[in-house]
Amino acid sequence: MSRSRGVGAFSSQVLGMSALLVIASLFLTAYSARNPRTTSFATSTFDVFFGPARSMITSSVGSVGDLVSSYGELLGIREQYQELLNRTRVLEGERDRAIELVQENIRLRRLLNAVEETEATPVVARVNGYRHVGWFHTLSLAAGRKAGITPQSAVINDQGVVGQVISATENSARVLLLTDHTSSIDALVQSNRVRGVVEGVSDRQLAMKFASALDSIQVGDRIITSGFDGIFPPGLLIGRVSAIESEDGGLFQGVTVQPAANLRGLEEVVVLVRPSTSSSEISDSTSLGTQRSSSSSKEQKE
Amino acid sequence: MKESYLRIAVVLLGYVVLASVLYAGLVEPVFPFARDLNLLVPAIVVLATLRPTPAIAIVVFLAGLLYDASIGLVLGPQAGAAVISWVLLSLVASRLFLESRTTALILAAAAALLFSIARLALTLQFIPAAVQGISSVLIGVVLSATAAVVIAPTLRKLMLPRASERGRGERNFIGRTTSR
Repeated sequence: MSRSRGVGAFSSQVLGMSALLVIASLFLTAYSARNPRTTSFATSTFDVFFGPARSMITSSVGSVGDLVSSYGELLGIREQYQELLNRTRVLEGERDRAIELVQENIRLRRLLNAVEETEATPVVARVNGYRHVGWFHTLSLAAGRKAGITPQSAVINDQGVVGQVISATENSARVLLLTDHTSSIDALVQSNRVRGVVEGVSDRQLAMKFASALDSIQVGDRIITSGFDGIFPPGLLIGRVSAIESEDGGLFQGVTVQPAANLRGLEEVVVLVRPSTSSSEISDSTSLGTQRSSSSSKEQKE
Repeated sequence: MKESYLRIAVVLLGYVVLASVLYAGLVEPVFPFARDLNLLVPAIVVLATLRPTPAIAIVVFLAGLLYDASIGLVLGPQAGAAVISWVLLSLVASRLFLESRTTALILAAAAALLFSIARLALTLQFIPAAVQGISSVLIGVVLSATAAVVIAPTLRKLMLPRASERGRGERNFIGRTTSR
């Protein structure tokens, strides 16, 4: 380790010079305090030579500062973007619900329009289940006896006949679709009043039985309910004739009918409850369709 | 030890200019809490380790004056304070074991304190409104001492680039070992 040898001992020259400089600084301080112009002159001279360098450093620092604050703003923008994205998703969900409500409103209005001309009491019920097992085509409703729904009530929508209620509990009901093989409805050809019975064949096909071979039925003819079975009010659209098949020498012609109602996309239906309907009236009916549908209803319940 | 006074003067004045420009352009806008930092202190500390001569005294005075001009308040306080603190520090440094970092730090702090007191004394007389509070002085001492410990070795190397000038058995600064 080294030690100082005492280098730097002050000589009188150094001390004298230092004292002189201190006194000079005192005088200079006093003078420039009283005469600010002196300081301004010195400062402006300094700025002339070194001002550009200082400006360059200041602007560089400012640029870096702007960059940093821009980055900070960018981060902030990213957070805002995420927030806006989340809000947009929420709003889109609400918009979808609103659209759904509008659609429901339209459907319900159509349903109400469809039942305006009937005497029956319309009960709107939501469809909450389908059951297509083999030939059995039924659906369940979210309303039952509490809402006034009774068995052997006609079920329709804005497009046409859907089926009939075969059983009802307090808060639910089961509907036999018209496409079910056990369903049959007393019907008429709207144009020429040719009578027959419409039975279910498949989920998209019906058959009109007992139409005389002598009767003139055309493809496209509208098939409506006759009202004679005591279940369906008269005049409700069942479907349209899609094909006709004549049997050689036969008494009847085979008429294929396409259902008017789209049975796949049902969300709400209208149950037409007849105020005067009672079980005895139904059993006394002479309509083939009604007897067949009553027995088929019993099968379904079992 | 032979010093090149011209080199010392050029380096010192260049350092003062750079320090004042950096202070105005960087310290004040970006680090406002370091407003009391005095960048003249590292130079005083380095000069205190050199053999004191009248030329060095004049260089110290001029450096202080240049610093005053860059500040723009009044001419003279920084110059007078620089000379006073340099003289006192030189007297103390000649008796100190400067290889120790602790000693160097204490020396730097002492330089900063002496400088602040001298400047206060000069300023109080003529510009009472420019007098700083005690807390401000203490903050300045801490910051300036820290800056001195960091800057002084590099500054000394610039002033005395040759090892022979920094030399064997001569006073060194902040941990530079010398061999006999």
